Amino acid sequence: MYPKTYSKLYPHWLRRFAFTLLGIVLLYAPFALLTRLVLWATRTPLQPDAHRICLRMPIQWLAQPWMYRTMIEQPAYLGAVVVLPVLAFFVGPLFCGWMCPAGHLTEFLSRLVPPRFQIDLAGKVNPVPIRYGFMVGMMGASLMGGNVCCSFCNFAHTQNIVSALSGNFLGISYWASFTVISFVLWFAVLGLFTKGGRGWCNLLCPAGALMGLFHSIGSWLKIGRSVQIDQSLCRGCKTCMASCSSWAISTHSETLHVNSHACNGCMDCTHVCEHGAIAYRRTTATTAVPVPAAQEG
Amino acid sequence: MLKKAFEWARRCRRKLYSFAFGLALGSGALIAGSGQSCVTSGQ
Repeated sequence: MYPKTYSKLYPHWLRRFAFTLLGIVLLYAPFALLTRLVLWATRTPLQPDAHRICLRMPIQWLAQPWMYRTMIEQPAYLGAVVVLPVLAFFVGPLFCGWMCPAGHLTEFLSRLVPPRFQIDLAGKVNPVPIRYGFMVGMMGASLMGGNVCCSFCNFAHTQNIVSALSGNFLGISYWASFTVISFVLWFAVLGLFTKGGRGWCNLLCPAGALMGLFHSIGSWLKIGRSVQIDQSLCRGCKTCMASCSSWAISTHSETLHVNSHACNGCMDCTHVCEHGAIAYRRTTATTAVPVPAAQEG
Repeated sequence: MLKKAFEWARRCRRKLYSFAFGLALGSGALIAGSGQSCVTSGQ
C-alpha cells in the first residue's frame, strides 16, 4: 500500500499513537485529567470536557478585547493563545504532530485507505495562506456578530466520538445541518480520503495556524527548534515529501524546502529519510537545499 | 511606494487569492454556524 521505507515509521507511529492516547486522557471527557486539574486549581465550577480547554474560542476572542477578562478568570482558555503558541515558538507545534486527538484520528485512519482512493493535494495547494486566511476570517467574523460554534469544530466532533465510546451518546445524537457538513468535510473528504489524512488541519485549523505562525517566527529568529534538511546529506529522493502529512516539504526552483508555517512537527520525515538528511534541531541556517538534478522525478 | 506594493501583490497574487479564499471560508463558516446550537457531550 505504501512504499517499503514506510515500514521504518511503524515504531515512530506507535510512539505518536501513545501520545495521542495521552492527549485524549488529558483533554477529553470522561477523563479530561488536565482540564479537571485546571478547573480545580482555578475553582471554576464547569463541566470538564474538551469545551473547557477550547482551541477555537480564545483565538476568536483575541479580536474581542471585552473577552480578555474571561480568559484571565478561566485560564484554561489561555492554552490556545498563550501556552501552545509559546511552546510552538521554542519547540515547534508538537501538540499538532504528537498529541492532538482530532488530527491523529483522521491521520491514522487514512493510513488504512488505499492511496488510489485518496486526493493528493500536496504540492497542488499551498495550505499556508488558506489557513491563515481562515484564522483571520474567523477572528474578523466575530466582530460582525459571528460566533464560534462547536458544530464546525473537529475537536468537538472528536470529543463526541470519545464520549460515545464511553457510553454518552448525547453528542453524536445531535446533528445540526452544519455539523453534518463539517463532520463529512473533516472526517471523510479532507480526512480519510485525502493523502496524509490531515487536510482539515492543513487548511482549516485556526489553532494550527496560530502555532505555525509562532513556530515560523521562532525559526526565523533562530531561537526555536525546527525540522531542517542537511544539504550535504540530501540525495533528493523526496521520500520525506511523500511522507509529510502536513504538506510542508516542497520543491521550489530546484530546492527542497521545509515550510515552518505548515510543519506540524510530527517528525515522520526525520524517521523515513534513509540518508539521515533531515533532523529536528535548533534552527541554524536556511532549510532550502538544491535537489540533485540526476535524481529528480 | 504604491508601485512597489502593486509589484509585490502581482508576485504574490496566488498567495493573496488563497488568503482571500481562506478569509471568506473562515468568516462564512463562523457566520453560517452561529445560529446553531453547541452540543459537546461531556462527562
